[in-house]
Amino acid sequence: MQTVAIIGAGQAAAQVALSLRKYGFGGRVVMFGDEPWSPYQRPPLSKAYLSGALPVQSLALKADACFEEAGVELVLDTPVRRIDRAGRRIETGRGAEHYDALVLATGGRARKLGVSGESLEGVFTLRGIADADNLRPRLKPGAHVVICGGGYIGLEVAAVAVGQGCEVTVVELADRVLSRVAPPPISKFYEHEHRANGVTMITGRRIVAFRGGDVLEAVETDSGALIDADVALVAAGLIPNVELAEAAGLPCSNGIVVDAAGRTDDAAIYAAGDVASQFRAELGRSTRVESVQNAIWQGKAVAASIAGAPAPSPEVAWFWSDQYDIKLQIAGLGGPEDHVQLRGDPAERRFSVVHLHHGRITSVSAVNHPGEFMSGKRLIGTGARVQPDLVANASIPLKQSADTA
Amino acid sequence: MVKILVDDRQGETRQIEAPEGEQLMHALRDNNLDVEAVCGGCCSCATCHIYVESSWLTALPPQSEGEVALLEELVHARDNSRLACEIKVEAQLEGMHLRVAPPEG
Repeated sequence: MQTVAIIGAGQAAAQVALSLRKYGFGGRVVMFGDEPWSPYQRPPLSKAYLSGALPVQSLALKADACFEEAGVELVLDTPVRRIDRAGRRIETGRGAEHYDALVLATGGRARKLGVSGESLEGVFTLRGIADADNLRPRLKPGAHVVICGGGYIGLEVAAVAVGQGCEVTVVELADRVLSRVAPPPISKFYEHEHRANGVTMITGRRIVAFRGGDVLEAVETDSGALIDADVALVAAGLIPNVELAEAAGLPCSNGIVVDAAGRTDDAAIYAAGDVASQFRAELGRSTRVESVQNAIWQGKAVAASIAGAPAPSPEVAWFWSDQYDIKLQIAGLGGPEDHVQLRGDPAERRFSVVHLHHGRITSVSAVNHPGEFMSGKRLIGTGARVQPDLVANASIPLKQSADTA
Repeated sequence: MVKILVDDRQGETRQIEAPEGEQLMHALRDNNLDVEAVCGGCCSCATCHIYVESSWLTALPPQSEGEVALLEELVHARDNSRLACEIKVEAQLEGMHLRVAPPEG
């Protein structure tokens, strides 16, 4: 019997396993996770799970019975140490496992700043359930919390911490928050919202050290400022877990390099999810895409390839973030040469930002505007030509901007 | 557990058991009905789009602004469309009949 081994037990891994069955793969499917948990959702870790609103069992991606019924073996708490490509085996601390096809869904880990004092008690990162469990009890009323990084996770945690009554400061290296993932009007809006909620927002500053004896006392920036801190969260992005692949001689370049089917240089080895670097036609280059949607889609594509089923249709990448009572949804990856069109008034806390390139929409960022997100996502997916003057007119629904001529 | 009748995308009717107090989406997601629930149930993705047998619509909680806004943009939306993440399973829904809507693509 053929065996598909999956390294990782996150969103992409779970999708590969369950999609293999859907596509008719009848062999053995075994998944190795290094955490003690069945596949779970990471997005709530910086939102409702951190605040305590969501219990741990609600994080499950699927009921455990789904994996049992699908005949998927979950081997948890078991890091994989080595891939033996010649022998088609993987080695764990407990033994070895043969594979006919291997899927690397190893995700990533929190990037550290590499500055002094980063190992002090009180300095945290956030990637897994254990991290959120460590951080939650420290977000006490009055606690001084410094968030090092103004990306999605940093800002979501800032919102939760404010909700718990903490004194929160966000320090972002770039000249605006969300600079890697959203256009300037969105950054400006979120900076304003966080300030309105009492967060001190500092942009264009680098963290140079965490100060304290054994315990964190302050965070130092490159302006020389010392910011009082009981708690610091380093939220500076993700490092893809490529080490197993690299050690096995598979090409990696800020991620494990894969083709359209998710296959690496070795025809028996695939990668999917946060760790996989894949060519994106809309960008004209390869990149990793850190999103649930991408993990699911790549998981399906890998499963289809292994099972010999038709590849799933391409999808528009999309993302979401919940902060305070504000819902941000972003569709498409956009590009640096896009024309950026604001639709609506940010002061109304309901607006969108549309990216246009050669008469087509490449990205839509929608704030409290789910309909605009949904229609924008469709216009990106169909590649419809739009009329820029209609896109510029927020009183006309975005879907009516499509060129019907 | 509350028994719900579900027509899957292949047109077959199945009876599933939905845990009371949870989002209806969970029961659909966990019963191999092709409900992806990408956003995990925060009314962001519309992948838990269902058609509810019309006589049951009034038994359901009212729609939020966000749910209405998402449904309005769906190609496959109908008068009896709902998002299953926005429906909490309660005893009074015993026997409800619904259909999983086609994917939006």
